[in-house]
Amino acid sequence: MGMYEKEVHSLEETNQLAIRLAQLLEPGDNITFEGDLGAGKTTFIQSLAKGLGISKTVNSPTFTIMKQYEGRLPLNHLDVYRLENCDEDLGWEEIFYGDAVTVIEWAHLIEDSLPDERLEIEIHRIGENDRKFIFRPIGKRYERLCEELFQ
Amino acid sequence: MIWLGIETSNKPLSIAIVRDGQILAEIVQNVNLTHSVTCMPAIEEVFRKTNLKPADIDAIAVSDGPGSYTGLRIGVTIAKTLAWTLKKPLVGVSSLKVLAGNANLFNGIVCPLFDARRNNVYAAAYSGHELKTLIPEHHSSLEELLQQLKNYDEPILFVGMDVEKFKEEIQQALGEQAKFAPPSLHLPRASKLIELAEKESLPALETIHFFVPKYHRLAEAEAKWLEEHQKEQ
Repeated sequence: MGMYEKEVHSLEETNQLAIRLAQLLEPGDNITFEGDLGAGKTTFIQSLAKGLGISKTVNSPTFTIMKQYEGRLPLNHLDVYRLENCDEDLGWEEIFYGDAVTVIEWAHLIEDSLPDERLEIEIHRIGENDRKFIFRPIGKRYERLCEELFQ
Repeated sequence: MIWLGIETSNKPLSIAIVRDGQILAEIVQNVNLTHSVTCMPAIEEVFRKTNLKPADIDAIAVSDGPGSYTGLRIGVTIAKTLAWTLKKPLVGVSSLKVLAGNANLFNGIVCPLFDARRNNVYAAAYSGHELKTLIPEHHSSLEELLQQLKNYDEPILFVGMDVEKFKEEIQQALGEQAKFAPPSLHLPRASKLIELAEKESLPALETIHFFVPKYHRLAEAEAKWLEEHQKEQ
């Protein structure tokens, strides 16, 4: 399995990375995000949303679990933090296999329900404005996506 | 007897008011799955058009699944809240049966289906005219459904807007036996929902609290438990 690392040293660079990724996304793409509190998951997703042409304010869906937005592609923004140890069937199929791009924070908490193919992004804080991004594409679609993103 | 019908089980939305078997007003639309924004205004609209007040209705009918989890939750939550606050009985009808109802004059078997993603479907099979359940509402792969349908000798009519996606596979498996409903029959109608609900007995008001959608799918955890349990045996 391929893996891509990228270090950025400013908020501006983070924004650029997110916007470039947004431009390459297609309907039905799923991206998971892992990283400590303050690593910048939400910040990255906000820039990604901007890159998808979403003008509405994107903020954390921790309480509602999911928020949906309309842009060049529809975006489902999930924060599944509150679903730890939740056995309920929440109907993920229509979310992960629909026409929207789906981004999931704290995705490992619903590991069993995640689509087999997806892009995993880890964000590590290595300084005030310095971050290390690790991209792990799972499946051909996401390998191609990463090749294009990092070429 | 005045009925309010609410059908939001998938992308289409339908709301109707029926008095003594006559449709007074009905909305049927198939735009985006935004029932959270469009369902209540649509209900207000049918009340406005018919000059009725919510308190005037005698019973509420809702499609209770299967279908989109989001769609079902919105329809069922609105129906429950209205039923409870107005103190009116609430009747649930299978969303697949409502769809099959569009084609109930067919001489043969009516098979409504919804796309459940990843080549799975929510489907059922009913006899034409009577709408007797031949294959109950369930979640399975398209392949399994077609295998089951092959056991019948009658023509089978497929209904629903998602049928188009599976048309080729259905034709390959069933050949001439498979018939396809025209698009005008693809959207569920709340008036049909009410027609089917009228055949049910009205449940007691106390049962409203316990009314839940029927997803017809096992939760991941249930499926795993069953799998492990079966291994033990």
